[in-house]
Amino acid sequence: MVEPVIVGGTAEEYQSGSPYHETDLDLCGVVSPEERAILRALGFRKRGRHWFHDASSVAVEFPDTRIDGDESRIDRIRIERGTVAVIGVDDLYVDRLRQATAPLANVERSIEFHSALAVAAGGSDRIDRRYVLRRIREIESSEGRTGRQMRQLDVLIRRRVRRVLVDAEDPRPEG
Amino acid sequence: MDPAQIGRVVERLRREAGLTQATLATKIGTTQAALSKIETGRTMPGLELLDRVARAIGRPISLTFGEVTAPASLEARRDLVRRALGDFEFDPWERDPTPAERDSLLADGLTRERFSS
Repeated sequence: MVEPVIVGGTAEEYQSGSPYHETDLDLCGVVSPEERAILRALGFRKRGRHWFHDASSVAVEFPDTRIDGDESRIDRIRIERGTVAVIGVDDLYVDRLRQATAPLANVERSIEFHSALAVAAGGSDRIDRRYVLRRIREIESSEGRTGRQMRQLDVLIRRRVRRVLVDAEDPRPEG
Repeated sequence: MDPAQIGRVVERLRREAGLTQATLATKIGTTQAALSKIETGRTMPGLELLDRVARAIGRPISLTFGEVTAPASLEARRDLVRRALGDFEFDPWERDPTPAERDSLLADGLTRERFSS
């Protein structure tokens, strides 16, 4: 079985600690016929694009077979009965940045912009800037407009996060 | 201590001194563009330049090198995110949830009304 990797809102809540209020659990992975049978045996049923578990009201979606990014950067978290894989914070930020280019108006007030901002702030001590810039350059070379927008938003978001960090590192007591 | 951390110290002290980048740059004999690069962590400043900054703002600069820092705690991360987001709140109902997602939200007590006030 291909290891399923958590992406989307759940990954955002994990990587940034932000109160994103995810609506479903997005997993990248291939669901084989045998695994479909296992999901059904566990109580999941197909509802639209989701696998829905009636007893727990959990909705699971498999939006893609692989993550868009570097699989060596995936984080693996030990839990009680095993390990779960979560998309790396660098690739999650690039993903959120790409999504932030989608709104046509009021970009800086959009959910997508704030989502990217939350990941940038929560992951400020872990995001690999060189890697992020390299990925933006790659996107720019194949999808010029999207890449350029991502670069502009990245500058804006970094500026905001830096301001927060400057204030947060102020040793003077608040008030 | 990386260039970005040093840059944030310089920026904070400059702001506390009530100086613009251009004014401080003039006082320490450099350009506003060069100071901007330092503050944004794109350039690692030399000790001699940091000494000029300290003298220009009239306060000593204390930096700690080689400090082993643990990754930020979840609480610290949440605090940074809260500060960055300000009063913005994620409203899952704005993301046009599917029927399955709606049921999932309602089961978690995340009703539409909770976010509409």
